[in-house]
Amino acid sequence: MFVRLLAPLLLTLAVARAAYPDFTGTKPNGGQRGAEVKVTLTGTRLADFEDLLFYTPGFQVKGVQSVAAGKVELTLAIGPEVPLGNHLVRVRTKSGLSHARQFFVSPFPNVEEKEPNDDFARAQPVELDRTIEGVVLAEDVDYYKVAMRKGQRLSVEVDGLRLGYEVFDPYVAILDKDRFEKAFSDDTILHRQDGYCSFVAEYDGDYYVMVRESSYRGSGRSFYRLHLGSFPRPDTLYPAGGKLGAKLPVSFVSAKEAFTEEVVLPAEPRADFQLFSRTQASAPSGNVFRLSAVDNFLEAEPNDDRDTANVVPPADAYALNGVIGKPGDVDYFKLTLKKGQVLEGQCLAQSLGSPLDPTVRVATSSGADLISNDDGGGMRRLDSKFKVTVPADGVYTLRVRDHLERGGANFVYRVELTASLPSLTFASPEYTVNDTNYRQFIAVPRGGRMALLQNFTRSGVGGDYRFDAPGLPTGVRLLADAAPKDLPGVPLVFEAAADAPLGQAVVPLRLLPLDPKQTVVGRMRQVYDIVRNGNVIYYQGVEDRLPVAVVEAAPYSLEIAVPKVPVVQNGVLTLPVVAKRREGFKGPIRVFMVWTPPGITSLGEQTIGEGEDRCAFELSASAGVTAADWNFVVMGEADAGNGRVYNASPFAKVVTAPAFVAANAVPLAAIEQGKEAVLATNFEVLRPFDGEAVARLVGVPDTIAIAPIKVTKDTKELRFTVKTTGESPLGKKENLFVQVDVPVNGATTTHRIALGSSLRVDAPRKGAPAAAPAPAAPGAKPVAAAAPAAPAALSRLEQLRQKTDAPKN
Amino acid sequence: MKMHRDCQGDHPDIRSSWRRREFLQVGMFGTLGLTLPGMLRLQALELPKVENFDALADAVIHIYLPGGMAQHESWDPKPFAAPEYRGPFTPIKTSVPGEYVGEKFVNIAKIMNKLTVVRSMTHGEAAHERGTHNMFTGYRPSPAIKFPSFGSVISHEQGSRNNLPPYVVVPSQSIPEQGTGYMSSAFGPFALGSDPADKAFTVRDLLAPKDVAPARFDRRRGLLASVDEHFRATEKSDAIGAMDSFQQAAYGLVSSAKARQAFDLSQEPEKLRDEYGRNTAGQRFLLARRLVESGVRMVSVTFGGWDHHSNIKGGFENQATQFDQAFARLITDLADRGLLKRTLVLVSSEFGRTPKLNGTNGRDHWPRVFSVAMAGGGVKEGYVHGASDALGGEPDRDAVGPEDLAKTMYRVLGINAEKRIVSDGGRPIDIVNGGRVMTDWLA
Repeated sequence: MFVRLLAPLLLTLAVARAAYPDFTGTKPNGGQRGAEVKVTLTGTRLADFEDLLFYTPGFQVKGVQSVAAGKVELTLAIGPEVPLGNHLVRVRTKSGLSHARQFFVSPFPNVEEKEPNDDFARAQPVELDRTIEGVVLAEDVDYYKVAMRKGQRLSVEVDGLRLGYEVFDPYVAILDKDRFEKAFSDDTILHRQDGYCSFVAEYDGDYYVMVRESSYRGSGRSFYRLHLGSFPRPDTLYPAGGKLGAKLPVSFVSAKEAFTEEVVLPAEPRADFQLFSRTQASAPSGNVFRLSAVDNFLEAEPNDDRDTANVVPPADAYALNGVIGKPGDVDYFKLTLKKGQVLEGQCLAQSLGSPLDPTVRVATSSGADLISNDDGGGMRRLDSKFKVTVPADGVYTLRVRDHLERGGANFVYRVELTASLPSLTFASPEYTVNDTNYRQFIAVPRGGRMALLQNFTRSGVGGDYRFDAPGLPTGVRLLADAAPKDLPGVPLVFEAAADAPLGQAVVPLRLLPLDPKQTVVGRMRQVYDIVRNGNVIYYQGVEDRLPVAVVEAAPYSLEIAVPKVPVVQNGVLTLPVVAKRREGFKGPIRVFMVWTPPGITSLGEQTIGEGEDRCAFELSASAGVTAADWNFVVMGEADAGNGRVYNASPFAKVVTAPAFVAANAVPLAAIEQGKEAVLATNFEVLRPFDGEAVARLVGVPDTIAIAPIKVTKDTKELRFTVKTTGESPLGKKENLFVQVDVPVNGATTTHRIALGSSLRVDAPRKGAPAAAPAPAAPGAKPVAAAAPAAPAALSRLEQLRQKTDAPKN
Repeated sequence: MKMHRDCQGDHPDIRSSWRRREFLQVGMFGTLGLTLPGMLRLQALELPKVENFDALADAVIHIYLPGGMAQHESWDPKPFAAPEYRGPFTPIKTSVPGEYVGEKFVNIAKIMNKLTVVRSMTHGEAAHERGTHNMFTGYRPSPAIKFPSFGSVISHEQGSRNNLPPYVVVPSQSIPEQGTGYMSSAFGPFALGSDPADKAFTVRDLLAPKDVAPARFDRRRGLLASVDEHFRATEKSDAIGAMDSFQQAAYGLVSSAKARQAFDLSQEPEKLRDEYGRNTAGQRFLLARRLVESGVRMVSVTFGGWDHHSNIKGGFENQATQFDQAFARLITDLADRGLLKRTLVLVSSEFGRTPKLNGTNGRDHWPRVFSVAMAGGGVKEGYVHGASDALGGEPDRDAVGPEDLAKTMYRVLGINAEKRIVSDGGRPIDIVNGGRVMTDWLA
């Protein structure tokens, strides 16, 4: 309920965050396969509309009737080859690319809801095999009337939440002429908040379909698509997965019925793959089907105990498929496993649309528990997930059952044990909180660039790779394609020629191995939210292709001023960024550091203020940074009048190098407040340098004065004179360090050495003579007299030692 | 630590999402039921006597910054840390030699010599509602009992002054932890129900509706009394008593011109209103000052949303500037009026934020170390207590818990937090369990 109260607020936030062309809706939300539909797009900053960018081939914008900032009217042709179900689409304008929305393709023509239809007596008559586009306002109930023949099936499916407008939870029911609910559906395993149900007519005559919000809420954005037909509506598939390129029989299963048909699987993996029936009237949405590199193993009953367990042929990875066919059913499998094998297992059920709440147990031959899991699976938490290392060679049993010992024809499961199955995927990280869509695209300005960081997830895959980006829009190129084995991620920078035509493409970005013996191809796996409310994610999708568009030139460009000096181990380096602004563009530019190599850190963003032309990042290197040349890139984001406009810098070479100098930490020394002393430590020149470097002891407040000193390649010791006053704060100052600016190539590179140095300021001793020697070095000569060769402040241990050794008088 | 990906805490924008709350309704919805036998048992219970303290202050202004304000960008900057720890701002010097604050605390830097800053606050609760509970009650949340907020305890212990409610929340009770916990709803906060920063700001419950004549108002009041009497005869519920005491207080407020004036921001000079800032922080803090000046004992002010999981720079640029201007002016204003010595101003937040910036240029929840600030009311001037480590990740020395803060705050008001209050069911509960009175902080 709280979530619902917050919904409008969060929605507002989401919209405010969205930039570029802001694409907030379509009317209708879908159309019939093979038909032409008039579609109205709504949003903001749409005035320079160019085209729609669909991820699925077969869609075509046939004509644009009107264009305004908030609305575009067009005719969309949906090819007969377009699969049913949801399809990603973005709006491309001359200046940018929008976030993705979904467009739904149905086997049926659209019909619009016509109010008043909010009571039984005023039900809107519709024919069978229609998709109704409607909206549920607050407390609204929509009724439809459909003429049926006895024995004819009436199937109803609603798309509500999935349309991606707001958290809308529809309820559908089939009523007879006497208003009895013959079938209803609120939530389903397959489609979550969206329901579907079927009923076989008991008489010739009218039946009624009712749609409302499950708790009589609703709003002007509670849109739905209601499909009415005679299609069988499978909950799940059995088996719910298969080997790439295989041909196999697949059953389309619901609680009451099932039919089987032969299916030929694609040879290449596809994100979010679904199956639709081809022998029967297809349901308007598909069923999840897992494409795998592993052969299926199908259970054979009876396998209800360890003795009758199905024996699975030994393999590196397994895909076990079964059905918990009746209440109390238990399925056993025998697996031959090898010692040290790491099994990453998941039992998929709910994520396949099955009502099963699986529990999985793997046991040794003696029956001892090796691992068991009930609820561990990510987005569908009732699914099981586990990871186990096999302790010894042997035969193990794997048991699957329902947590509540339920069962039925549609209680399908699929256990995937992907031991040592190599894989390589990549994805771009999220760029803001609670929004997986923000900036997840490439809109390259003419004559400019756009960058996206891609992080790798490697599992048992080594070696160098390179990015392959086929089918880029004309005039666009990928600046660097290397994906070295030792980097966790690299920035992808796309550049458009100044005369590149405005255009678009959905690019099947891949990582190809440099080693011809390596067979694993890296694929993009970008998870994005379809419906989300704050922290709660209702619907997600996975995409394996990158949308790339060419947009108009940006009103600014950025360039990194390549430093003349390297950044050294434990060093810092300032990286200036210079902006060139087009005449008249004065707005502030957010500048993002797209990426830093391992061992280098920096702030993630800086701002070039209004009317200003530069900013700077401070790079900070760790002690272990590898000496190498790195391609750095920054990207700007600026509100250029028509939403945010991106433009990345060209690559700039930053060199990392070993340190020139080193020093041990200055040992803790005590200074009496108001006095001065000398702190000393060794100084080691690791690589000779020319000229004088400046060393500063850093980390104390400015009420403790420590003058910088000059050092050369011949310096052996650092000696800092520390002056305190009555204002110098008492106590220990830790984590001081020495900053050394070493001259290289006419500039300086900054080292941080003597890390972990410390200093203590003590309260003045009571009754001490005014001109007492520095207390840090009792027994030493006063500093003033000793200058310029003032004694070093002594550590506590040395102080005590001197005290003991001092002649008694 | 909960990072934002897994953070189960809600992220309501508390800046604008207060719930509608009529203070009379609290009585009606109060959940506590003290039965007559329970009451008699209470009277028979003897509680241990505790030492009495002299009050060092008469009132508290508790400024709460919901969401968890980052320590690095505010009270505890790390000028010498690497940039990804130091954050997007450059720390600035303050009027206390050797001490720095965040870049946006320009005015606060000038009055640092009037403040006590605690840089070693720590607790273990990284979820918003749990951290908030710690900082409003001095207790860790318990599944068994709801603890009362500071204001409710003060209200219970000290009652009202000058016909004004002892505990006022500005602008409204947006956080459940500002409530009465196990205590009677009679000790609940009086909520403005309107934001002082709004141009048309009026306190909803203070004025009789414009179209209701005095005679009609009295008639309504009589009618209500007879309804109440009926319930009193048929029900035995604390809620009725609480409602009645709220009504009495409300009629007192409505009939007392002086009390009403306490809420009337328009009586402040335009210049001063400008100096506080014509924004949410400015007008809320100014109203808080008016209220304590008139006799309110505890003003609980919330301002902003500080849950900066991403783009902390943008988040601070606007809000911290408002807070800085308003807070600094509040302190100087209280000092100018001679009120500061007897008014404790406390600034807190549910936790701090991670020492290192995350991938979205923000900081996530971090209760291991963070800062609170105080001024006036018997605390030292220009004093910094404790320290965090070099990265602002752990307390380096003199760690302080919420119970220490709570106990010290009560001590300043003259309340001995070792005293026990009897909860429903006859269970005596310490005002604060454990904790120390931080005598180091007291002037």
